[in-house]
Amino acid sequence: MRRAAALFAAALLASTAAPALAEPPPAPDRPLTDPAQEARARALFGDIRCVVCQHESIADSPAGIAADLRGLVREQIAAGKTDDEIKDDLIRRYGDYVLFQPPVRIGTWLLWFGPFALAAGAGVVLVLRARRRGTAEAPPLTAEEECALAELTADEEAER
Amino acid sequence: MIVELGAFALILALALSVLSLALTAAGRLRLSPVLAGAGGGAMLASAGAILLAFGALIYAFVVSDFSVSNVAMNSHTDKPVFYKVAAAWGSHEGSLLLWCLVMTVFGGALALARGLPFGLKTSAVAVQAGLSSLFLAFAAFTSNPFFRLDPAPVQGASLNPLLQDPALAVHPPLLYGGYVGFSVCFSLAVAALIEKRVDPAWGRWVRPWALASWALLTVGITLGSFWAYYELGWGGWWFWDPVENASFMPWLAGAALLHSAIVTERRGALAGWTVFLAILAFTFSMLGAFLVRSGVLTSVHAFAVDPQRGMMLLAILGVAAGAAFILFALRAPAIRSGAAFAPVSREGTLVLNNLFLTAAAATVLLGTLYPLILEGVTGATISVGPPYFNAVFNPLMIVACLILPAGPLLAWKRGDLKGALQRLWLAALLAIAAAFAAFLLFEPKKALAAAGLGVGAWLILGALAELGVRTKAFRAPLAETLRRATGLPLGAWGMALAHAGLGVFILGAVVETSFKAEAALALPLGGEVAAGPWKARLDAVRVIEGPNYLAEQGRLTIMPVDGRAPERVITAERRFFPAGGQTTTEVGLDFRGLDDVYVVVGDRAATDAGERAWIVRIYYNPWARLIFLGPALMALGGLVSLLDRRLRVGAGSRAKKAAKPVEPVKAQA
Amino acid sequence: MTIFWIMTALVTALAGLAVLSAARRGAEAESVADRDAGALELAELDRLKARGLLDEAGWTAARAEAGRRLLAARRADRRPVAGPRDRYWVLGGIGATAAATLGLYAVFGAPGMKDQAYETRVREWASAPEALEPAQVAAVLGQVVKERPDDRLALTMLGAARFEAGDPIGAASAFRRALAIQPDDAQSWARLGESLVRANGGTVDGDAEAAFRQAVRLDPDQLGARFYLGDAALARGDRAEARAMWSPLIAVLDPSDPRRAELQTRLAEAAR
Repeated sequence: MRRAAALFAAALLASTAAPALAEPPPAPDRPLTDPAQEARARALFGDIRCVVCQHESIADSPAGIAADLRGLVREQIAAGKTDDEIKDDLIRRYGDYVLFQPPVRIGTWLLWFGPFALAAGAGVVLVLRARRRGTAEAPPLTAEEECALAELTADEEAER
Repeated sequence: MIVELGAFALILALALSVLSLALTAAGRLRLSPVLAGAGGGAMLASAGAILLAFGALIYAFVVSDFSVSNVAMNSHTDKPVFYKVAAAWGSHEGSLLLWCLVMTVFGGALALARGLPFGLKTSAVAVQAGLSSLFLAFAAFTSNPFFRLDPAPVQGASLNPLLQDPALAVHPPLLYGGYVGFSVCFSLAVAALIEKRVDPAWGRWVRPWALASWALLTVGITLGSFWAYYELGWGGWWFWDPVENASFMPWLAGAALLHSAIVTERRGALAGWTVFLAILAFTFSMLGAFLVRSGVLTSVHAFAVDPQRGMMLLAILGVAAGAAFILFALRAPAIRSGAAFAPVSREGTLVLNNLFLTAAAATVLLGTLYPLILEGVTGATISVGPPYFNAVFNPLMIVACLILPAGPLLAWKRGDLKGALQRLWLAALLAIAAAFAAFLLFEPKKALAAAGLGVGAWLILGALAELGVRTKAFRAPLAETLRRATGLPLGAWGMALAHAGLGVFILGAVVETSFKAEAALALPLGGEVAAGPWKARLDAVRVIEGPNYLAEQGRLTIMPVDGRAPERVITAERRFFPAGGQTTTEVGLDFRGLDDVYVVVGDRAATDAGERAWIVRIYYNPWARLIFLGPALMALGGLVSLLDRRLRVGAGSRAKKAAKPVEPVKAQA
Repeated sequence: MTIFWIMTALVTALAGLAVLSAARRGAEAESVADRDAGALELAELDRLKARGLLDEAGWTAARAEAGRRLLAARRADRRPVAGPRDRYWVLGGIGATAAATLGLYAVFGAPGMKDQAYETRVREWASAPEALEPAQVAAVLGQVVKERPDDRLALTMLGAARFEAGDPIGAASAFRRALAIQPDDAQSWARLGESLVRANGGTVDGDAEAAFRQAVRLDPDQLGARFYLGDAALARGDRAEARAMWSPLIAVLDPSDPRRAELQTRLAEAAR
């Protein structure tokens, strides 16, 4: 009996401690009834970043805000907005960070066009160098050179 | 005592590495074989010391010695023994020790190599010793795995249960074999610049190292992708995540390097390209190490964040890569080989290959670092993800893939393009037919996907066409074709396998990405959810207990929507690990031919009617198997090509004797 | 300690030996120029021609390029020669390495520290059970339970120890196993419930409530269980149930005990 009381006391102490703050569970997913619209929604989810996660899209993230964004996108699709309008709206709310496709503006020209420029530029350099080198072939080995070469390979075989 | 012996061994390894650097550098300057030999010995001794240290660390994990800080943070007595051992290289400190181990072992192999010219070999070992000294110093002074705790905690903090998977346990050693293998190519390249000499003999050493490293990296990356697909439960296999990109950049540079090294080995040409790519590949490896460990990038699988260590790694990277590139800029003109070739020739296509792969690597680099750079310069935050890479990376690779099959059919020095294209007409025709067939047969109709499938088919058929040309298939009697086939050098088979493997991968990637389907519903017992041509019915859910976890296991029946294939029962779990408080999912997989039906049982929920339900997600991934089979074939092709060199060393003397009669004829002419 | 330093000396000596033998092998080896290089390269060109990958004119030109390069390289190569005092440099280097290692290790290492394998520590604790902390007690008992998985008493003690050590989930697991062996142990049910409540951060969920009900069913005097069941009932708004659970509890407590007053207040508040 005393032991029970002791445990009970310990339990009381534990229960009067402040309960841990738990995040409310995310709103459940309600897919759209029209399969074409739902497919559009799914495609968009892959392009939208979950802003509180580490490089995940809202399609798979368990975070609350991801669920909210999914709901928002579905609402807007059902309301008849186009994909671009939805994306623009998200950018207005959260900034460029929310989309996985970086914007195309002066600050990102290097990003978008850099690789193609590099490939094209290097290609041009190579073509010019090839032209300049011309097609001069190395003249064939003279007889002396052939002898020296034969000596060299014979030496090598002897050494081995 | 064993643990402290390991700590001592680590410091000994550092000192020996510095000794190796000093002795080999002195040996090279004074042309002394005694000093150079001693330096090589010091490198081997350093490798032995790190092996001892690593053994001590593994011992500490196996006996759960929690006085070692690394063990206390990354292990737990409940962990199965295999994963305790794997935890030795799973943390930042342990994996860095593994990096150093591989680096010194490969340096030792370089020191033992026979047949390299004295100056080149000594310089290369010296550079390798310099690299290993830098990394060992970093390990010993900032990331020492033998840091002790006093008093020792009673229990460990346990490694992430996600990492308790055989594929992931083996993933780091393979990756590091790749990354650090490129360090040998780097050392050989810098040595070539120091010696001002790049010739086929040098190429003969670089190519196998590049090929082996690249093959290991291929397997390592594929294992990681494979693990993510089968384990994480989000149905994807590549997300252009910064850490994934960090491993992809050295892979692209390595692929370019091994092809460029082929040219240098055969003809001595492309010396500048090969040296540059060798330096670039290892620079990307080091950059990857920095990105993953510094906390600079946000990623689901970065190591524990520590900006200070990150800065030191960046400094090492700066010193090593900076010195190498500066040396390259200064000495590149001196290593010109003078081996000329026409623009249309095998060398020419390999130059194009170098170009495209380098541009692709630059794309991945830009995409990964741009958000950082932009934020640093202007303060604007952007995200770079799959849409960017699909728009920029894919076109570059597609053009490269279109050119690829023509390359092996062109001769060296001056190729006959028309002849090569003529030999490929049948492959091209069949590829286009395959694309049309795909467009007509697959639902929904997607032109781009059909075109992508055509590209994959083009690569496979091109590889077959090349083999057909070499063996004179259908143009000579079967007996002769077979004789030629068995006489083909292994390198030819390796090349065909690898290129076909790339085609197989493209087929799988295109079909899976374009035609996959998924659905998620809160299912009560007996409920069904469908994706694509398959549906899943949740039959039962029960609680089971594993060695160190509790799990909710769902039993599901997978059946075709149209009823034309048999039903199968599979299980999927959600596991809860009490020691660390984490939850993982065990995916339920149903293999249907090349396709995967992939089911994940998630959180408890309630249906609209208020019944107890579970969120079940079903994914239909068509041709998913090819995504992993392709790279496996590529790595196999690499392995086969590697074997070719070994067999050729003996064949060299035979060929030489055969070549002898030719010379007198030439001299007379 | 001495054994440790002997081992370190041994390891260092082995390393030094490796360096010295490599130095001797370096001295004995002849010029390490690539013996076959030239012949192999020319043979490679011949082989490419034979396979049709190099045409006649290309082969001649390629051979010319390669040949000239080989001849030039041969002229430029210098043979390495061992210096007279190299041996001393090597020995000196080894000595410096050993000294540096010892010095660095003395500064950064922990030479005297023993290995502390888990099983060894547990055995030490088991041999001196008086002055142990709860976590250590739990570790010892965990070992006992591993050897004797059907020892119900050890399992219940393990559960209690883990609870004290702040591992409520481990405690719950231990209690579950004990109850699997003997399901009519009211106290273990109650303790299981308490472990689950603590694991949940103070809230009584379904599993905990079920455990408490079992406890009270088997032994109506389980006061701890009664408290939590009453708590859960109040949370549901079921005042009658709460009163039924707590009445014996209130009766048992001393009238001056503040907890009695608290329970009564809470019941009274719920009425409103």
